[in-house]
Amino acid sequence: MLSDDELKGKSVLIADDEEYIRRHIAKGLRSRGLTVYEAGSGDEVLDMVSEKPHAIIMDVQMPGQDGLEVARLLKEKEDTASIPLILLSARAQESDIELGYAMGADHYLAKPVTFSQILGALREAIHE
Amino acid sequence: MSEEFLGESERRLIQQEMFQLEDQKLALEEQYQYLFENALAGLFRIDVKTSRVLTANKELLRTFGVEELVELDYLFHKYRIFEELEELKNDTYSGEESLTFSSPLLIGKEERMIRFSARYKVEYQVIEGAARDITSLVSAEKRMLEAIREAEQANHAKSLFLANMSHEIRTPLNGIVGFAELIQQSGDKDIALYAHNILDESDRLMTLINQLLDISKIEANQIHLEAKPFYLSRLVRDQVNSFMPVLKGKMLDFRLSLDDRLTDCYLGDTFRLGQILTNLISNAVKFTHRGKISLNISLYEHKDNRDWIRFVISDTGIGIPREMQKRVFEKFVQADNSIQRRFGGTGLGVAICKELVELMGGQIALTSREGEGTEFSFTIPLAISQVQAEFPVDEAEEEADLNNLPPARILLVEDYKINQDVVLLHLEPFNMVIDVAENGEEAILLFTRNHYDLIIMDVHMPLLSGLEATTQIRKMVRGKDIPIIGVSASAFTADREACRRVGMSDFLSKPIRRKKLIDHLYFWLSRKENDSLSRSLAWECRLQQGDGDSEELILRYGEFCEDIGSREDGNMIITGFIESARELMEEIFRDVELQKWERSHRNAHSLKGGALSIMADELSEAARALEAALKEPDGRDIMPLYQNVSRSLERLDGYFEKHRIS
Repeated sequence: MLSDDELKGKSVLIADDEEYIRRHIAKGLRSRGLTVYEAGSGDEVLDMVSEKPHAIIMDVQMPGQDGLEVARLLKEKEDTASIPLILLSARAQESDIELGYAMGADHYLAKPVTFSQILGALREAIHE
Repeated sequence: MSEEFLGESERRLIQQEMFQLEDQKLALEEQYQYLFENALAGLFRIDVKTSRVLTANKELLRTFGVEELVELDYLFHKYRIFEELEELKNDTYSGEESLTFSSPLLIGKEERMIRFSARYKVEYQVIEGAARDITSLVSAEKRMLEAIREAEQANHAKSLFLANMSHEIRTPLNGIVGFAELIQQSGDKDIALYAHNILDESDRLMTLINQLLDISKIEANQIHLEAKPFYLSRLVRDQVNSFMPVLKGKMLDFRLSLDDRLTDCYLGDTFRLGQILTNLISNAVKFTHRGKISLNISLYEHKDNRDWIRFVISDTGIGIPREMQKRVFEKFVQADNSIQRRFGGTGLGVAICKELVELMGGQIALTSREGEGTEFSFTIPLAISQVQAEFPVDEAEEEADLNNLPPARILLVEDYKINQDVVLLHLEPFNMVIDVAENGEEAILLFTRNHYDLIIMDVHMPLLSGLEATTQIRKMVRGKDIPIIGVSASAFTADREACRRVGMSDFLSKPIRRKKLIDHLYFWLSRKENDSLSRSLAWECRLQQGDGDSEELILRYGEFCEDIGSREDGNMIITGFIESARELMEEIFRDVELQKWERSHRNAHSLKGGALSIMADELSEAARALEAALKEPDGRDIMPLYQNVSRSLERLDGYFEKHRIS
């Protein structure tokens, strides 16, 4: 596992249409020295991925293209396929989780999650 | 898993709440962190398992003079702070109990005293606490303690100095007083007045010195109160009596009232109680110009086997202004500086009273109205004497050798009331029981009934003389060894021999002087047995004395003239007396031959009275003996007594011619 020091300087794209949730995670990451890009929809994710973040944290339920759809697109493209992807979702059924992984997620976190769970997943993802 | 049963919306909701809690936690952590960092006390957390400092705030680093946690670790190890803190692992410090200790640390080049306070959080396996540099506090406290000690030492030195100085001053002052007394008696009226003034001033100086000594003794905790049995009413009356002359002089009334419920005999320090009363009464007298002074003594309450006695001294004097009333109990303060000039005094008296009253466990208070009068009152607890004080108690502090009579039971055989009183008065201060017999017969009766340590026996008495009584007592088994001191007028030289012949132990000449009486009693009472060596020693001494000590007894010329007012008048009266005494003697001689007892007795009485009034003690005593014999002659030989009077009269004449100053 990486220490906080090793996360420092990395960049993360975080996507959630619920602003409070997004901000909370962004704030936690920024306070640990990460660069954070925030996206409120699937389309924004596809725009902002050009910033080449070290990892993407993305909610599944978003208006417009949902998280699963965006995941499929990212993994299809050659220049974005290698970016570690962490999916967050209030859908916690076994089938939902399997679907997430099938769409190319490196981690699938069922809400509710704590910030430190997100951080743990992020460390693992970047380390891999 | 419970998550399985949570719906999607519920999960969203919980997620929201969870992040809100995380925010709150973060805010608290930030707040804590801020306080931790900026606290003015050094704060730290230590990992118990590794014995390393986990966190420390800026203040702690500053306190220890370091910049990094590592350096702090080093210092904590070096000064065994970790070891001290390990103590917290003991059961006594379970829970929230904190450990506090101080350690001297070398920080930079300075030794600092650091105070640690810490507690053990078992669940986190950390010790958290605070450290504070208390060097300046400690040194301030040390300086303060040093200052207190120095002040105490200085005060003690002052008290010691005062005590020594007082003593040093008193010694020469005693000399001054002694010689002033001698000068006063030496004759010249003006000189006597000067000497009198010297004595007055010396008294004031002595009072001041004694008060200074008392204050320094009180401050040095060197006053120890005695608890001896004493008669309260007598102590009080003695005190009051000593003020009678000045009260009369100022035309002031004095009222004394004593509560009936008070017991006769208490345990206490009569000298100190007397001192309090003297101080307060003398203040009342000093500041009162008309009206009256009263002393009211009452039982306040009876508690714990003690009587709480309230003494109230009130006067109709000038009073004390309200704003000064508290201050009069302070040392060296009088209500007004001008008072010092008008009335004199040290301003110490009332302060001493307060200290003494408090030392006795009591309280003193004052109420006063300017121009109307002052009332001092104090209440002290006194234990009731369980020994129903058979013995009056030694009171005045006088010359040491006059103070030391062992307690004794004495038989005083004396027919003359005045002489009985003189002896009783002189012996009053001592632990003595004195029985009085009016004549030889009564003496023998009392002697067979009671045990006595000593007998004082007048030689000339009606019914059975002292010589006959002594002879009978010596014949008794119990009477062989008891010291018997014969008493007779110094004129009767023959009496001394007679006293020795019948077996008396010693001889005392009249008029009886206090010092002589006490010397004699001391001599015999301090010897348990009336051994023959003591007796011959005493006699040798007495016979050698002869009449040498009696010259001033022939005529107290200077004193008499001073009393009369002028030497001229004095001379005239003495000359007149001697002439008429000669005539009386001639008449007595004739009447004795004619056995006209009544008239001769009357003449002897007149002669005695006249001699007494010109202060011719020896002649008056001789005449008294003759008078007594003439009252009930019973065939006794009057002539030796007559010749004694005659010889005394001639001695008086000779002395007067030799010493008279025109």
